Amino acid sequence: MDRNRLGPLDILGITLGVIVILVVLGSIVMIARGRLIDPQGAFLGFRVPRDWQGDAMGFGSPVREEKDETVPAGATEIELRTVAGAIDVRGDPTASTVRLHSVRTAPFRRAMDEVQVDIRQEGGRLIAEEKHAPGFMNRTGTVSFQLVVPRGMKEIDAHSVSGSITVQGVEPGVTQNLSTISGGIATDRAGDLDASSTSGSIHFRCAGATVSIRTVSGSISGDLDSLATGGSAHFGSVSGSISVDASSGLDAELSLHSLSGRVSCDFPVTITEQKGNRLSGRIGKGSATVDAGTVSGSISISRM
Amino acid sequence: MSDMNEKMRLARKIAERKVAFIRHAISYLVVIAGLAVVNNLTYGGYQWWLWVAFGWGIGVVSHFLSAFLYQSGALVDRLAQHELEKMNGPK
Repeated sequence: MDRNRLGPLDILGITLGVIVILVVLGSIVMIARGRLIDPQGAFLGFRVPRDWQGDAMGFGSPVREEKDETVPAGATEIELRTVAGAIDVRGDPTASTVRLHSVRTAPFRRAMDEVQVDIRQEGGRLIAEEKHAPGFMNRTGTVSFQLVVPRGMKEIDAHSVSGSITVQGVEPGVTQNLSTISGGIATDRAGDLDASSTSGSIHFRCAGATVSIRTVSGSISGDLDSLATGGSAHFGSVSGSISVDASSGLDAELSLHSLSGRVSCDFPVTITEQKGNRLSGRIGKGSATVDAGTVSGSISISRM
Repeated sequence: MSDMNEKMRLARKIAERKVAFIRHAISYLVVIAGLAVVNNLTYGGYQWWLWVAFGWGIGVVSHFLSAFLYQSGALVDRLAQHELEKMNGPK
């Protein structure tokens, strides 16, 4: 008798085993290729006939909803928070109140219902943030904000996780606190500025007394129009480069240091210490402080 | 007689393992297919059933390997036979 002969039980078992292996490999490929969220609601060509669907099913294509939110008058400070959505703030000297335009998007209808825009005012501070219903399935929708602000603003705070932040055309001197994890930041005409991003780049233009800009891998570039007497400007990055154009009237104690990046400064500096990639000195009378540090990124301070 | 009983016991054990795997695999395929249909009928965008297919599938594949490829004692028996032949030397 042939010991290796396969019986019907063996053939059935091996066939099922091969099918299961193919299903597992297929699921790995689909997960790895990011096909978990299929905006068309279809999978491998499987589509439910339209007649079966209905709104209650929550089945369908991506959804988008734009809305002009009612904003109470009198806000001089603004705080915006999103997760993946972009934040865009623009100044309009002709505007009399803050105008907030929100855009909600989701890959399907049910997810859209689980993400909301929460707007409230606490004193003179207007807060608008993205809110999700609790639960794993409820985090696929996103909110982005487009804000038009009038004159008279004092502070703009904008925070996102992966969305970009842009502040443009706001009247000079407004304090700005901006942070993201992976999105980029761009701002012009800021007063005091505190900006941070982990992997996004930061482009700025500011004139204030306190400037602090930090990234981990993103680059930092921009213009330092002026730095008030007694003020401080700090630029820090791990692997991103730092490139700052400062006004020719810059008057500051300077400290530039990098572990392996190149350090350069266009200003005439009274050098107090220069060793490797470290440069310390004074520009003018040294009435403010400017320090910039990186691990591997280059540092360049130039004259406008 | 004792050797015959031992072989019968082993054969029964292997057959039970194979039948258990077949039941397991059929349950897996039926449930996963059901989940995929329910997923796309109700909440079509997010293909969450893939996670179940992947996680449970690892278990079913392990079951398949133990039932058909690495049968209990078969590998040890083969190694023991090999060692025995080495001890006896060439005839």
